[in-house]
Amino acid sequence: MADPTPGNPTAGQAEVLRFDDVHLAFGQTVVLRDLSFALHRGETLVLLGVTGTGKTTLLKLALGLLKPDRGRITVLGTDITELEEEELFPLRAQLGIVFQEMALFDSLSVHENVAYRLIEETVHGGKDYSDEEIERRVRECLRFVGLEEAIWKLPAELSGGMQRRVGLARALITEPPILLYDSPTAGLDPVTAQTILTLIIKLRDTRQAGALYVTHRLQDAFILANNCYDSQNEALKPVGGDGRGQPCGPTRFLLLRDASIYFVGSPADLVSARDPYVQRFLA
Amino acid sequence: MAGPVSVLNNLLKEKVLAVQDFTLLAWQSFRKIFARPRYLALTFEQMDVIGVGSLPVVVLASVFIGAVLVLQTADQFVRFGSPGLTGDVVALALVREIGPVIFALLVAGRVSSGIASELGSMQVTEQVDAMRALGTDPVKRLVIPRVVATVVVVPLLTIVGDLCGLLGGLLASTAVVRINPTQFWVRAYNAIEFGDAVQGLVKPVVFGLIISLVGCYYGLATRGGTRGVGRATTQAVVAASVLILVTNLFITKTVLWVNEMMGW
Repeated sequence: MADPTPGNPTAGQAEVLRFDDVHLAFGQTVVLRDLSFALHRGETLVLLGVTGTGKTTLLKLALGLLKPDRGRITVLGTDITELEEEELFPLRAQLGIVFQEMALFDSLSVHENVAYRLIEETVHGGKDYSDEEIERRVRECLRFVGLEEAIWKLPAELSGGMQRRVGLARALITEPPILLYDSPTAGLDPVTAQTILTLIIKLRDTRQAGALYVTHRLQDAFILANNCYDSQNEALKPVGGDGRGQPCGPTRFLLLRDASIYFVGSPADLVSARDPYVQRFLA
Repeated sequence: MAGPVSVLNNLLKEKVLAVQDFTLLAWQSFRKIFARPRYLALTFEQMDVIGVGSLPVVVLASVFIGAVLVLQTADQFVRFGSPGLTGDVVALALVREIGPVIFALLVAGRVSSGIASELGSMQVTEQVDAMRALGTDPVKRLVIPRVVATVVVVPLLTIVGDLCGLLGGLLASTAVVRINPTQFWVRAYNAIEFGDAVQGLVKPVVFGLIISLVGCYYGLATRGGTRGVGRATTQAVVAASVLILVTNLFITKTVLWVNEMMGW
């Protein structure tokens, strides 16, 4: 099927998520109007827009936490629009999400939070992970986000930035092919925000997961688009001085306005756009 | 500005939707109660929190209720020369009516509010969404353990409460009214028939269901941050208490009819 969104540098890559004419309203308020786009493996789609334009709602639709009024949502080739909640649970193992408010289980330790999905899969009877296997994988994920020493702490004992990193580790535990980030740097100081972004870029460039990245912070979007992870130096390196070079993991921007897609394209397309609203958004 | 008809229309719709959502939650809980996965450890944990946690307040309240019942009734029976009837009245009142209802109201105040605030906090901090996103059914993990625990524990609390109430009555009748303790106890014991015990145990099962389901419903329906959690907590206690009192009438009438039919 053709990609409904133009300017896609990953055309030809496997499609992992697709929205076709998705429409959602809460009462009289239209939240998303006939939205169509596709996300490919290894690609990052940055969802931009002012607050209240339906960015978080879009992520919830992708997870099947909300149902659209009409249209179709396809995750890894499966149409999830008509699926029952119980049928969605196995599919959700293929999606990792980092919530804006972290949403860590405050009565569980960092270990239990990160291991939650593995423990649940053992409880469900589908898989049988041993305690040693679970701890090994939890430590591996926490090491990836640089928080192995916090494994036995409770979320309340961690700072906001550390909680975000635990949220990231929790999303990673099953190595999902799709990652959803809901404003992961909102409310963080610049240094912590940079740490989170570095981790996200590292994840993109080392694991090739497709990602929907919701933000209203333009600087985050451009850091994502203009940098790739240098695994030798364990740091970010720029991909072309003016941002027009091909990034390690391709990034597209999707700007929402009044419940619809207003702009979609590469970072270079966004910067060079003459549209007054885009210009105002960039200012 | 919306007219009064429109306001009334919206209010009615809101109420009907609330009833629909509550019924759906109750139906899902019953439907999934035996489905895997079963969170037995969480269920036992809830039994501890709800049952053991409520025990002191139920014991304390029941002793004083039993004593007050004796003080209020003994005087009349002494006047008619039948002080021994005090035991009958206290036993019947406690086992049939006062025990199940008062203890359920006490547990509702503690448990419905606790469940609503806990689940409400989880809802407003997106923990319930996170649970669903991580492949867990909140009804199975959060609702069913609480419902099962409350339905098991409230009848047990009622039995303990009834017993403590009778002991409180015994103490008051002996110490204040000077009724022979053996006479009080034997009459109280003999007054209770099978039908009374059925009535005294059916009610707490239904009340346990109301307490837990109402708490879970208001908790999961919480919107609007910390203020919403406070509102959900209050609404849960009020709704559970009113439902207990209203349901009590219908259960009483039904059980009395069944007793009459069965000759209990």
